[in-house]
Amino acid sequence: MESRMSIISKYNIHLSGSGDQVMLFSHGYGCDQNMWRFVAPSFSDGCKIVLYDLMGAGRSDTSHYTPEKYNSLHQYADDVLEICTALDLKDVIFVGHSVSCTIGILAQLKKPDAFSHLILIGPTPCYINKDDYKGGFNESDITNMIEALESNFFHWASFITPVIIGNDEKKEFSDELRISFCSMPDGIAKNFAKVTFLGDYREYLNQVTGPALILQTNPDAIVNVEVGKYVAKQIKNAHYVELPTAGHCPHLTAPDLVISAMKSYLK
Amino acid sequence: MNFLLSQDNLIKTLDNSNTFYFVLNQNLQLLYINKSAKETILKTEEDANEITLYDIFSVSNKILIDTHIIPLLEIRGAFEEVAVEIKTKTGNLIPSVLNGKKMALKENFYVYVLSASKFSQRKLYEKELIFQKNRAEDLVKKLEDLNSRLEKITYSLIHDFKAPVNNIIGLIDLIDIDNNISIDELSYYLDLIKKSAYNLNLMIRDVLNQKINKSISKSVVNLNEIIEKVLKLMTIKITESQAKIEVSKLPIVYGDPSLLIRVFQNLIDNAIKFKKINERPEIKIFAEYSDSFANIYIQDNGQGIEEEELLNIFKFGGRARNTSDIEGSGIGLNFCKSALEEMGGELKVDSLIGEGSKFFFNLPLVE
Repeated sequence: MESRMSIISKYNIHLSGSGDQVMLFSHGYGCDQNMWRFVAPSFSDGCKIVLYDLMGAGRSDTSHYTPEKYNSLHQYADDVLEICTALDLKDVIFVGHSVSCTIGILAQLKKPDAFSHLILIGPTPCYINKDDYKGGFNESDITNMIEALESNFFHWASFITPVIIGNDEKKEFSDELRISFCSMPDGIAKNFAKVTFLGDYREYLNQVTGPALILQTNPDAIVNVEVGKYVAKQIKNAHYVELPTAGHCPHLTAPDLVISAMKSYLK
Repeated sequence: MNFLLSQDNLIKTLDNSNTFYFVLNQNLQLLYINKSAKETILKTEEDANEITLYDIFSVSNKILIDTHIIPLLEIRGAFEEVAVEIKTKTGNLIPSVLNGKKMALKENFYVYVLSASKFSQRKLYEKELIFQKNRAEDLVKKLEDLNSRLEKITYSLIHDFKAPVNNIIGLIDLIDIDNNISIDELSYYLDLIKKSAYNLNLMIRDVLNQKINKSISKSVVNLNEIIEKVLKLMTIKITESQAKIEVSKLPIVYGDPSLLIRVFQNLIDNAIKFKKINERPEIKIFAEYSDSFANIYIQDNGQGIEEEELLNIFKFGGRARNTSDIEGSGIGLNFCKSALEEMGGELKVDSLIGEGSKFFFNLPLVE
């Protein structure tokens, strides 16, 4: 087993707050733990706050990343459990956004005792429309999106800069660009997009025991309200709350609403 | 300056700009859209009241709004140069570069100001750049492969050139040492030196004539004649080592004669080199037949090779662990294997530690 310090550096873990209750925040596809900057501090009085970067994102140690290892969300769930074990975290309140909701669900399934509550912001077990299930996207939309990532400037910066510079001497320059664009290394961004947006984890929902809080915005162009309700219906002991705000990132655009919904649920 | 700063003129300027401007609230609803954007994107004037940022972009960009654009606006307050596709009212997609900034219009009221410029031409350059980059990477890979192949060939040639050169040096040393050498003996040695030099010359000629991808020249080869030449070329080594070499009748096959000489030289040389200490090397060369192929065996009574080393010895530079004190580069067997494969054959080995090794290869028989 890896040491506490090596796990902290592997996932770029930041600890703050004080108290017996642990809250672990897991960000969604795209950026990193900075996504929680408007929400997490509100719980630091009375809770130990654990922030980390998903493997491949932010400043996580990407030397641990291989596409074969991270070919499904199960490995990301194992990472959460690795953090809990290394840091000796128990009865954790897991707060996940978007893809991290599924990661939290899988982690609780693997080790139910590790978590006391799941707080799921904008959860979806599957982004793609399948039969009666309306995930919101056709498979071709997602494929186009993954292709678009390849030519997008977030990715373009890290992709093209070493070509222009022509050697590794200015690696820090391309690294800086990459980080400043809130992006991942080329291959990882694409693989993680495939794992996130093409996966189907519906079968696991009704196996989770919760308790869980589902926070759903209305409207949410990425995860529609019906998906939020579907998740709440499938998970045992789930409590569904619709936030009166739009967009898929209420923890960024309406953090007060998110904080108050979480506090009133945890009361 | 005062003229430009009047509100009417500012709006007129924005409206007539080729760049699209959008002002949105934090729910991503449009508060303002300039005229050129309106004319390109909106089907009706009323659309301006109903659409959100998600409706302006292609479906694939929708996800980027939530995974990158909003986080960057909220966390950094701005973003620059994001490639997007703007959806026109006729359903076309315009490649554009998007910039955005979060601004406070009044206390606790924030808006996002976005501007999008078409960059179809730049997009083409980008595509070309990516294409050229991939092409350059392919070329680099091909060059690296070629380079590594050339390196292998160079090593292999140096290894092969050493044998006749050593032969010549050995023979000259013999003449030097033996003061009472007779004319006949001298003539015999000189003949051998000449043959080695001739062989070296042949090899050099082959190298000069050989292109990297040149296919081998297969012809009808009498292996008995090949072995005869090889044994003459190796006279010194065989005499010095007191090796006993038994050659049975060999078949006529299809192959490349100069490659086959080098293959037999390498295999016999190995059989002598890896002999048991204080034991005379005994080598048997014989053939067996199956259908249209002949299996040629070179069997020795040497040290033998560990089972786990058997695959390793055919690799380029690969040598068995128990042979580090014996001269050799680990190239000869790799050459033999490649050469035989080029001729449509296959080189294999059976071996037992302390018992010896049996190298064998197959070649197509001449009917």
